[in-house]
Amino acid sequence: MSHPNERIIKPEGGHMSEERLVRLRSDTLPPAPEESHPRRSERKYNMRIKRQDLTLIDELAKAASRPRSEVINELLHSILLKELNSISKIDARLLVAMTADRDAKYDDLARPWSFDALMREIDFIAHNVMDHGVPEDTPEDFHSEEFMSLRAKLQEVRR
Amino acid sequence: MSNGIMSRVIEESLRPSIEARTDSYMMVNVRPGEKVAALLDLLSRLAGMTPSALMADRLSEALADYAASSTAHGPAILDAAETALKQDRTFYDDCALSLLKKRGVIEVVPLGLIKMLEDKKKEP
Repeated sequence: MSHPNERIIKPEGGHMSEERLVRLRSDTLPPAPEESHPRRSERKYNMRIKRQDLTLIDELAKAASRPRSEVINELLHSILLKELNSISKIDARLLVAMTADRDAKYDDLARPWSFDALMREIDFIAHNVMDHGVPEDTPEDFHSEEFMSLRAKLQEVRR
Repeated sequence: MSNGIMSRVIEESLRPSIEARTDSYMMVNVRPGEKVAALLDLLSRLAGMTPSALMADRLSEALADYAASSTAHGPAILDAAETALKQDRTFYDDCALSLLKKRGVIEVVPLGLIKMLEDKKKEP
């Protein structure tokens, strides 16, 4: 009986003497990440959309040969990005973004909200590095009031 | 007696607009990606609203912005305006087409009315 971590391999048309055993030493690999959250991409929402808006969405989708759902997702993304960036204090903005990111399972190519939340600052740091060779020397600071109140509210809704 | 007749008249006169209002929304099943769902859920919980309610009014604004972002969207805007005006005679308040009209992206000229007035003027 073969072991799940073992394979006996013989080259096609090869001799018995060429038979090899390949054993996977799974104890040398890190454990697989826990699947603690359901995959968000499988989540469905019933959205109430104005009929005339839906007509325009369908026409725009048709013109671009894209499915309606793709256009709606793009619109939702732009609304959420705008909402996120409406938080003026950087620590409060990042707190919301990181909380959302913790609930999401991204693939390697996705750009998390935390990155979006820091776009202005990343741009600033990038310019600083290009101009002076070092990132901004940020002194230690206290969290904003917005951060403190949002953190309390987030702890409340995530309980 | 007259009250009964008048209330029925008022009720009947209001019916098309009531029907238009209830008919002016549609429920659409959306499966957003991982990223959108995560922040949508979080903001909904923070605002104490359903994701649909949270997005409802903002969607028209975002759609108007998107539609107005490229001249390539021109034919699609015109097609949608044609369908809307054929079906409903007007753009619903605060829908994307109405916002595009307010922004001057689309103009609606009452051609029939203008012609009618011109014809009236020509009459002896």
